[in-house]
Amino acid sequence: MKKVKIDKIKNQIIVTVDSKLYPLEAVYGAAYVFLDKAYLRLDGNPKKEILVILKGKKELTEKQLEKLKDEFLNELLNYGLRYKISESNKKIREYVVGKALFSAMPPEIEETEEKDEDWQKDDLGIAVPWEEKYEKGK
Amino acid sequence: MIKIIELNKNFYNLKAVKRTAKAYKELARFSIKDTGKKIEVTMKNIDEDVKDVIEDEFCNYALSEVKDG
Repeated sequence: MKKVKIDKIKNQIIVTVDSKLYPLEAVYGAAYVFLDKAYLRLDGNPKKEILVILKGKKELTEKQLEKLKDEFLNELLNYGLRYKISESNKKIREYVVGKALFSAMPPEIEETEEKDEDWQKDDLGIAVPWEEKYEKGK
Repeated sequence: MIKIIELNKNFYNLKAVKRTAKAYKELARFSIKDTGKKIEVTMKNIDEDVKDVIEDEFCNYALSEVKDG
């Protein structure tokens, strides 16, 4: 469950996120999207509750703060789902990448043994050593 | 003027904070202390033009640096 505290005087909202529902990666993801829109600070315990402090870059009305909070929660949901999907597809993704890399490898060169190679034949008798050839005649 | 920011080490790392201080070195004098659970950043001699926003901008920059590792 998420708890939200709006502080109009400080121009900020504090969203308490249950890390069992939204992992830290999802909170980081949503926070990065909001770096341009607001000042953010993270606090709390990532194993229990994460505090996301969103502060308006300009002076915001209560309605605008509410809107900022709602947009952040939507983004949080978006990143939470993305994270969940990426986790559940992790194995198949690894398999697909592995398969793609494997098929991109060059085929192994087969070593063929040529038993009857031409160079081994000595039709002209060139390979016979000189001593051997002429000693016979003595 | 002195400002102190405390950043939770569960979310921010020292490397990212140091990189942020380096990026902001023209705007203030920084000293960083690791207090165990928190990283304490002390800002001194803050540039007059940015004194109202430097704290928040520093935190945003540090968060973006965490992402980059």
